[in-house]
This record gives sequence, structure tokens and C-alpha cells, in this order.
Amino acid sequence: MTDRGTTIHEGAIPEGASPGGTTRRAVLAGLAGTTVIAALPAVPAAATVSATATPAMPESFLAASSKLCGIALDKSYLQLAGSIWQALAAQDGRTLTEICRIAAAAPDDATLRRRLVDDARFWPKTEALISAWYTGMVPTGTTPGTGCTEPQTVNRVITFDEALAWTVCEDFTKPPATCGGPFGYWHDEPPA
Amino acid sequence: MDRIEENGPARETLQADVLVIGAGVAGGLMAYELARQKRRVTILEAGPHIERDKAVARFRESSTKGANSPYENAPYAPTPDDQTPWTFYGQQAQGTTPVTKQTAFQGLYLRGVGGTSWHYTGHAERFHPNDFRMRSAYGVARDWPVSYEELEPWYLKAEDYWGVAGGPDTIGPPRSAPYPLPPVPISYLDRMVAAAAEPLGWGVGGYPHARVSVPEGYDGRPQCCGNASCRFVCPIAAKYDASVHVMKAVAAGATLLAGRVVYNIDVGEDGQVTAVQYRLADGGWGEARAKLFILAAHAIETPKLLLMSTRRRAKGVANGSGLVGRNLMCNVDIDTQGYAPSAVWPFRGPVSATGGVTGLRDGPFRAKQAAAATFIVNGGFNMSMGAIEEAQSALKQKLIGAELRARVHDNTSRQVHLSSSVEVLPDERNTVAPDWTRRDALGLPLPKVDFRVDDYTLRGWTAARERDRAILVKMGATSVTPPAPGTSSSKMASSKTCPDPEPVPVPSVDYAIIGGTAVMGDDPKTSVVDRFGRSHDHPNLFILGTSAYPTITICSPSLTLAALALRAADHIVTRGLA
Repeated sequence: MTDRGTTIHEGAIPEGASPGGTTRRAVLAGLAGTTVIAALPAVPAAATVSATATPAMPESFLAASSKLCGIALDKSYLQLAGSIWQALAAQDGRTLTEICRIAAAAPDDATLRRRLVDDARFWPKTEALISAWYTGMVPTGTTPGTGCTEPQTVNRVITFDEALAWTVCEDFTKPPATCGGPFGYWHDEPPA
Repeated sequence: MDRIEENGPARETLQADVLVIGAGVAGGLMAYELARQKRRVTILEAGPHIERDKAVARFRESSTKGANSPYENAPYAPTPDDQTPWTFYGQQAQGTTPVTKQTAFQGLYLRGVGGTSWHYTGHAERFHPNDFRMRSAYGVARDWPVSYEELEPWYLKAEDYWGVAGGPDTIGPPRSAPYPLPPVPISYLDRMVAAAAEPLGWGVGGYPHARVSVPEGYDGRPQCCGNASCRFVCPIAAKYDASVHVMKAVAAGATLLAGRVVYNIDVGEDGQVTAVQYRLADGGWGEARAKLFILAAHAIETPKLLLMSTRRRAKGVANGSGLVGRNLMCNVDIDTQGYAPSAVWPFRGPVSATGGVTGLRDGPFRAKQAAAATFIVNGGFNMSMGAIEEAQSALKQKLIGAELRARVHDNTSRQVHLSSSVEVLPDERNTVAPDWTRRDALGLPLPKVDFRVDDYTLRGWTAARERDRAILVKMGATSVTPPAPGTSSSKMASSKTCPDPEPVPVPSVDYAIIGGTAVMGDDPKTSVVDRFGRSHDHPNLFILGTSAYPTITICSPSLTLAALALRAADHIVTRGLA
């Protein structure tokens, strides 16, 4: 299957990584099989180049995100990936591109940590990237502090239902405002 | 000038047998009962229509996902925001003064068709019989002019209308008939808390719910499927909300007009209410005349409107007692949280609570200390943002990859949260009034609140805190907050300019419960309305809702106000008052 304009190599998802959103992908498949995946609005790399010269989303973006998040993000995440890329790459896109390159090439978690977590040049943007995936939100500013309150980060929601924080808990729950199962499912432990 | 005047010619002129102000639980039920008796009923609602799908979409799009986040905060009918509700009430933040002198009021309410019931817990509790006789039973506060026994038939009717689910073991007083629906099961988390609480001598029971528990549905509403967002919005209407009976009223012939903000009640020389004036959402105005007026605008907007209506009565309408706007009540909360040693699987099922810890709800101790209702919160530390906040916390610790994933899953699955709501007694110093120095987009005054809690409440709050902490410790929970009593950071907030930077356990005003401000009683000198909600001063004005509560108790207040509204409607019909 070819997603219009963007090629994600099959090998982009790290071997052994936990699959991201088993339930989510099952839902997608259950709805319309591959048709749904094919119908997802593709985010071509070139399309992310805006008038403000936001760099194009590198092909390694999903692979890098998968490693940093600890979740294998397959092609069904392309649309969300494009939204996150556009939100984060608008400022200091070159650093983000470099993070993707380093993460995709890192042979193990120790290298990933040494190169991106322990290096102050990269950690803020790396944290922002992982945060966007896990929370489904990106910061847009801060509220002014008062005499008694610290300035608060103001976020914009890119996605709620696909925020990875809920995905990693999908063996027992799901995002609020989503049906959880048959009446009374909460009485017992979730199925093993 | 502390008065709102008409601006040009009226754009609307309405005439009805019965004019209902407020399309919430009380207004909706009253409108329905009278419309089906063939009275010409018009309902004026200040806020907008609420469309469920749009509310759910707003919830998903909100970055904070508080109780009011799914709903349009219309500039012509503003409500408190989730983040700093005290600013809406003209107050400063929690902790700026001792709580016995001033407490930040956080009561959230909605203005819109269906009212605040859109985001209530869905618990359909009856008050305990002693809740109606606090003075007689315990020597504190005041008795209601209505007994539990008198109200019991109306509880039954309200439960039937709502489709309340419960069983023999459900938390609640004795009853004369079974619940309409079988109980909503307690959660696995409830069972784990019970395993720790019961050896300590505390019970755990399930709550009565206004959510559908049978597969065939109830009154056109579907069975609950555990969306776990019902504290904010139920996406499928399995939880009852007042829009059900507002729409039934319309189907029975009532007229519903949203975006009409009443700002004055006119009174004739004979004491009868003759008309109300209201602003349209675009700033124009209209007038509605009727034979009978029902004011059901919740415990903040109701007294505000009465006190704004000073054209013929300098103290405001229905205020011969001087008690309109006084005795504002709520509950105050203590939230005890920690991580169980193994997964207890929160974030599943009705999110506020399916079960609660009993033992502090009623008893002789109420002579000295407040009662407490303790919810075993199915929604962890933050019902709508739980796993997301765990991710943010893990990132602060620079976890990435598999470690991050495991931390978020592990911590989220082990969250235990006991939330105790503690009773506040009536206190005439606790007030709400129109603040003419702060106005909304229509130029109408915002509400100004003056509020504090007393030592009676603080003693109950302390007892609940110690009990809840003991349960978590018994569970083997770690990272329990607030810290143990007696440690330096557990002192009450004291006089200072800013809150303590460390976690300081301070009673925080509950978001969900607001009452008092137009209390009922038999004596016109000490109450605003009589036992049926009829104004002592104006025979054709009824004031319904939690504003009439002489005491607030620790029960979810909605079912009781529904029972009282149904009783008042029956009184109006049988006495030929409309």
C-alpha cells in the first residue's frame, strides 16, 4: 500500500517494539479494512513545507517517534504525525529534524538517552515531541502569572482519542467519552 | 445606578399562565407537570440550547477538560470557568486568608437548557431522614419544614421519572418501594478499597444512580456503557439530565425560549408578581407576563435576580426576611490519593464513583462535627486527564521509550483516590449578591460571594482526612497525599499573602454542590419561601431548587430538589394556583 506522497519504509517500526494502539488499529481495520488507512488524509513530506519554511517531515519521523515513545507507530498514525510535525517544526525545525535523524539511527536505548536526553541541546525539543504524542497537546503560550500563581502553559489539543498516554493503558481503559464495553465491565478486573 | 433599565422599545412581549425562569431540573419538571395539565407554560432560559454532540466535541478539544469545558460559556449568560472559579465570584484564590475568615468559592453551575444537571455525578441520592431535622436530632443548624416521610412519595415519583438504579445494598435511607432499575455494579476498585476499609470498621456501598442499568433502555435512554466521562458529559444520554423533562414539557405544549436573561421581577402594589423583563442575547429586551411565576435558576442566579429587582422593593423581591442571598452553602472536600501496591484498574465505569465509604454520613457525632460522604473515585487523580498527567510527570523525570510507556501504564493503573465531601452548615454571613462593579456582556452584574467555613465543618473534614488516609495506608498505598496529620506541611493555611508553596491540605470548596440563599421555612421572618416553595411575600411566586435548602447535607442534592419540585407542582395544581 502506498500512502499518497509519503513512503514509510516497513522497517521504520523498530523490531520488538510494542505495537501502538492494538485496539485502535483493530477498530480501523474493523471499520473498513485497508480502505480506511488508504483514505486517511496523507501528509506528504512536501506538503509540510509551508510559506514560513517549516522543514519537511522527514521519513524517519515515525520511526524516531516510535523509539522515543516506546510504541510502534504504524502508518495509520501518519495523519497525526503530520499534525504533530507541523506544530513542533514551525519553530526550530532543524533541531527536530536532527533529533529524528539521531533517534532513527540510535542502535539502542542507551544511545538514545545519551544523545537526546542527556544533551541539553536536544532534550527540550525531544521532550516536546514525546509530550505531543503522549498528551495529544502542544503548547501555544503561557498565562500571565499573578502575585500568587505561576504562569501556566496553555495547550492546544491536536488529538485526545489518540493520545498515547491512553493507548498504553488500552488493556484496561480508553480515553474518556468513549464507550468502554458492556454494562458493568468495571466490576471485574480487565481480561488478561 | 444599581438598576438595569429598558433600552428602547421591547422586542418581545410574552403572555402565559405560568412563566418558568430556568430550564434545569426544577424548572423542567415543573414545566412538564403543568404543561401536561394543559396550562400555558413558557420557559425562559438564560443560556443557550445545549447539543450533546457539540458538547462532547468541546470536551475532546479542551486542553483542561474540566466540568464546564463541554459547554458554551455564553458572554450573555456567563458562568464560572473551571480553572479559577473564585474570580467569577469576585474572590481571591484559596489560601490567601484563613479558611474560617474567607474561603475561595468554587461552585460550578451551567446556564443552558438542562442546566447544571448536564455535568452532575448522576448520583440520585435521597437525603437521610435526620438531614431534615438537624436541629431536633443534633441541636445544630435548623430543621426543614418538610420531613423525609412527607417527601418519600415524591422521591418515588422522581426516581421513576429519572430511572434510578439501586438495590437492597445501595447507600440510602429506608424506602417504601424498590428502585425502578437494578443497581449499577460497583467497580473492581471499589472492591479493593472495601477489602482495606472493612477490617478498619468502615463500610463500602454502591450509590443510587440516575443512569440506565438495563439493556432495553429506559424512557428512550440507552444503557450505560462506561464512557467514564459522565462528570463532564454523558455522550449517549444514559445518565439522566434535565433536558429530558424540558423537552417533555415542550412536547406537552410548553414554549421554550433560550437566550433570555431575566434581570427584573415586577411586583404590583398588591404584592403579586406581574411581569419580568429580560435581555435577549443581542442586548435587546422583552417582557413576559403570567399568572404564576416559577423561579428556578439555581442557588446563585436566583438570589442575584431577586436582589436586582429593586424597583418596588428596596431590599429586592421576596426578601421581607432579609435572607435572600444569605446562608449560601456547599460541601468542602478533602482528597486523599496514593498508589496501590498493584493495579486496581481505575478509569473504568461511571467516573465519579460507583461506590463510597460509609460511616461518617450520619450519627450522633453530627452534634459536634460535620458529616462526610466519601467517594471512591473511579477516575483516579484526575478523571479526564489521568494518564496524560502521568505522562507529563514521567517526562519531567526524563523517562523515554519503554520506561516511559511502562511508567504511564503502571502508575495510571494503581491510582487510588478517596474524595470526601464534608457538610457545611447554614451561616448568614455566607452570601451571594449582585456585584454592580463587575458586569457581564449585557451589563448585568456578576455574583459576588462572601464565604467561610466554621470549626464544625473543619472537625468533620479532619475526621474524614484521617479516616481516608488510614484506608489508603491499609491498602499499602505509597506516595499518599495529603501528608500525615501533624507534619509541618499539614497545617491549615494561615494568614499570608500567597498559598504555601508546599502541598497544604486545606478544605477546598466542592465544585458540584451549591445551595441555600432562599431558604424554606414556616416563619416568614426566618425564611424566604414556605414548605412548598411559595414566596412568603408574593403568593404567585414559587422559588424552587437547592436555593430553598435550609441545610445542604452531604448527599447529591438533585433528586431532593426534583422531589420538592414535583410536590410543589402537585400543590399548585390541586390548589388551583395556576
